[in-house]
Amino acid sequence: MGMHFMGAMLAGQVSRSADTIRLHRLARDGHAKKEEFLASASKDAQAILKAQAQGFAFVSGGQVEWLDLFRPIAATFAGFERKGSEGEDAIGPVTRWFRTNTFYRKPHVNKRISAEGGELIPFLPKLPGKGLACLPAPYTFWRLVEHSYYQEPAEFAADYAAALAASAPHLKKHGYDCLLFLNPSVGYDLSRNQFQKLDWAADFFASLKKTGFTLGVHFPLADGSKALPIVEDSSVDFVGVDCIHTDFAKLHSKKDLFLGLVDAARIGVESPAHLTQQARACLQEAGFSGNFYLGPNDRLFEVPYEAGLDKVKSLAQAAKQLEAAK
Amino acid sequence: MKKAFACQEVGSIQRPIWRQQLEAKANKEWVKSAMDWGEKFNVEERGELRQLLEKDGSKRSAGEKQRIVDIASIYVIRMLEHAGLDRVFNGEQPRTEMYDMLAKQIPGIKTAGFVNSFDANYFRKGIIDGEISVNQEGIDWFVDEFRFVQKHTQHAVKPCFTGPYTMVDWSYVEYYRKLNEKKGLKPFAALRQARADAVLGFARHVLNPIVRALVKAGAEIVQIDEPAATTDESESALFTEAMNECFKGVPKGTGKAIHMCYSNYPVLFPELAECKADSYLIEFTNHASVSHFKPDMVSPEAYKFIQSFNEYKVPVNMGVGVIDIHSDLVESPEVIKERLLHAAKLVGDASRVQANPDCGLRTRRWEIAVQKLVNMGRGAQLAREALGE
Repeated sequence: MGMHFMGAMLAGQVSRSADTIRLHRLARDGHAKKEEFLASASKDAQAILKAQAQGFAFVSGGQVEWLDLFRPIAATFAGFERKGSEGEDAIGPVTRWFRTNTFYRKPHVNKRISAEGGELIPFLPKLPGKGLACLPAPYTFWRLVEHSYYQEPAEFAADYAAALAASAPHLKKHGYDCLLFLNPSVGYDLSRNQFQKLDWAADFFASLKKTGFTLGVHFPLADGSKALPIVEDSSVDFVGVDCIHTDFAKLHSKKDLFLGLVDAARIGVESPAHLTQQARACLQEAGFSGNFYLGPNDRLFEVPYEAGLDKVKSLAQAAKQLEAAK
Repeated sequence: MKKAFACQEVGSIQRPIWRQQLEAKANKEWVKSAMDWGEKFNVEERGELRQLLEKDGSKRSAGEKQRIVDIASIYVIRMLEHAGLDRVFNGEQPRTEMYDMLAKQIPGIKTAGFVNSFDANYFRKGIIDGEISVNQEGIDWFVDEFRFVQKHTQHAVKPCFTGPYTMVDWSYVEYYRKLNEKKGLKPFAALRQARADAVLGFARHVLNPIVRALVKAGAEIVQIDEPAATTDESESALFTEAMNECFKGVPKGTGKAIHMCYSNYPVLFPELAECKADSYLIEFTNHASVSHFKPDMVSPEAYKFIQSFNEYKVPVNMGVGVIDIHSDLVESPEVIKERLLHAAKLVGDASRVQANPDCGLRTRRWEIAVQKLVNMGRGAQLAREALGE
C-alpha cells in the first residue's frame, strides 16, 4: 500500500471541564467574573494541547473559549449585527446545530464582511506552531446565517476569504498554520435532498491558498463519497470525511484525506488498536493510496470533557502506532 | 368559556444562591437578599429561613438543608402568584437539572458529565447501561413534589418533567446499541434502532407510570418537556408514538401538555397530528425584538407550527412564548399584548392561546425574571381587554 500517515488532528470543538462549566454558570448568574471562566477554559485548552504532544500534524486547544462556531467571527469581523444585552453572548436567535442538542446564535450579516472590526486572535490561544484553527466553511456559513446584505453567495464567500486573508499574518504570528473549514451543512442538506450546488469553493480556497496556510475542508454528517467532489478541483490540501456516514467503497479522492473516525456518539473510548485497524480498513475499502490524517468526526463537543480528553489521548496513541508503522 | 391568554411558567426558575450553596458558610448578603424577596412575595416562612441561613452550612443537618430547599419552592410559588400566573409550580427548586432529576430515579442510567447546550447553559449526559424502568421510590419522588406544591397554593398546579425522547437523545444508548449490534445490525443502523428501543422503553416504563401516579394524586394537567423533539426529523413518528405512550390511560379531561423550544417544529408533521396531547408550549419570541413588535419577527418555525395544526384541523391549546429568556431587556406589557393578539389571530381562537415564556426562566436573575413575569400578566390582561373580555 502506498498510503502515508501525516498525523492526527483535532477537528472541531471539545467540551469544557466541570470547573469551567461551574464558573461559566456562576458568571452568567453574576456570581463570578467572566475572566475567571476564561482562565479556567484556558487551563482546559492546555490539558487538551498536552494530550496532543506526539503524533499530531497540527494541534488545537479544542477551541473551548468559542461559544459556537460563528460567535467569535460575528463578534470581531465587521458586517455582523451586534445586539442584545450581553455583548457577544447575545447575538442572534438560539438555533439548533443540526441533529444535536447544541445550539448556536444565528448571526445576522447586515453589512459587507471585513476584518476591519477586529482580529480572531483573542479567541485563539497562542500556540508554539503547527496550530490548527477550525472555522465555518463558506457553504455552511452562508446557509446558517441570516442575510440582509449579500444577494450572491459568491460575493459573501469572497469577502469572507478576504477577511480571513487579512487576518492571516496575525494568525501565523500566533502559531496557526492550518485552517480547517467545517462544512456540516453539506451533509445535512444532502440527507434532506436540499443541497444547493454553489460553484464558489474553487475561488474561496484559491484566494486563501496565497496566504500559505495548509487548507482543509471537513464534511461531518456527510457521505464523503458524495461530498468530496464539491472540492475535488479546488486548491484545498486535504478533505475530511465522517467515517460513520461515508461509503468508502464509492469514495475516490485525489486529495489527501482526513478520516473523522473518533465517534462522538459513543461514550466508550476507542482503543488505539481499534482506531488504526478501522483507519486501514476504510482506506483499503476506498482503494486509497495517498496521504491521510486521523481525528474525530468533529463532534467532541457532544462528549463530556473527561471522556473527550481520553479519546484525544487514545487518538495520540493510535497516531504514534501509525507513525511507527511507516 | 375558557379564559383567554391564561398565564403560566414553563418550568425552571433560577435557584437562588442560598439554595444552590447549601454547604457554604453563612453569608449576610444572601440572608438579606432572601429576606427582601421574602417580604416582597409575603413568604410566611421567611423568618424560619433566616435562622437556617444564618447557620454555617457545614453545621446544618440533612433535615435543615431539605427545609431550605422546601422554602425555596415556597418562594417560587409565591413569586408566580405575585406575578398573577394562573398555573404555578415550584420552579424546579428541589431538582438539580432536567436530565439528572429523572435519570437518578432510574437504575439503568449512570451519569457521564455535562456538555454545552448554548451560551452558559449545559446539559447532563448519561449512559444507559441497562434495561430502563422506574421503581416505586422514583414515582413517589414526583408525587411528593407535586403534593408539596399543591399544599402550598390555591392556584392550579402544573407539574412538569423531561420526556422520553429528550432523555434518550441526551444519553449514550450503550445497552440497547450492544443488543442491536449483537443482532447483526451495522453500527449506524444499530444506533438508530437503539434510540427507538430506548425512547419507547422510557415512555412505557418510566414516564407513563409517573404521569398516571400524578393524575391519581390530583394533577389536572401534566407537562412533558421535550426540547430535543426535533433533533432528528426522521424520528417524528417515534416521537409521536412515545408521547402517546406517556399519556396512555390518562382520563379524559386531564390536560396533556408538551413543551418544546428552539426547534424546527414543523418537521414533526404530519405525524404529530396523531398525538394525544392537547396543549403545546412553544417558543415564539426567540427571533423578535423586545422593544417593539412586528408580526414578521415571530419565530418562523412557531408560525408554521401553528399553521400546521390549523391545516390538520387539530384544535390544540397553544402556549406561546411571549418572553425572551435570553435577554435582560424586559418586554413591555404592550409588546406582550401585541404578541398574544397576533398569536390569537394565527390560532383563530383566543381561548386556545396561553401566555408563557419561551422556555424556563432559570437563565435570568430573579430581578429580571420577576419583572418579565409581572409584565406577562399585565400584557395578557391588556390583550383580554382589547378583545372586550
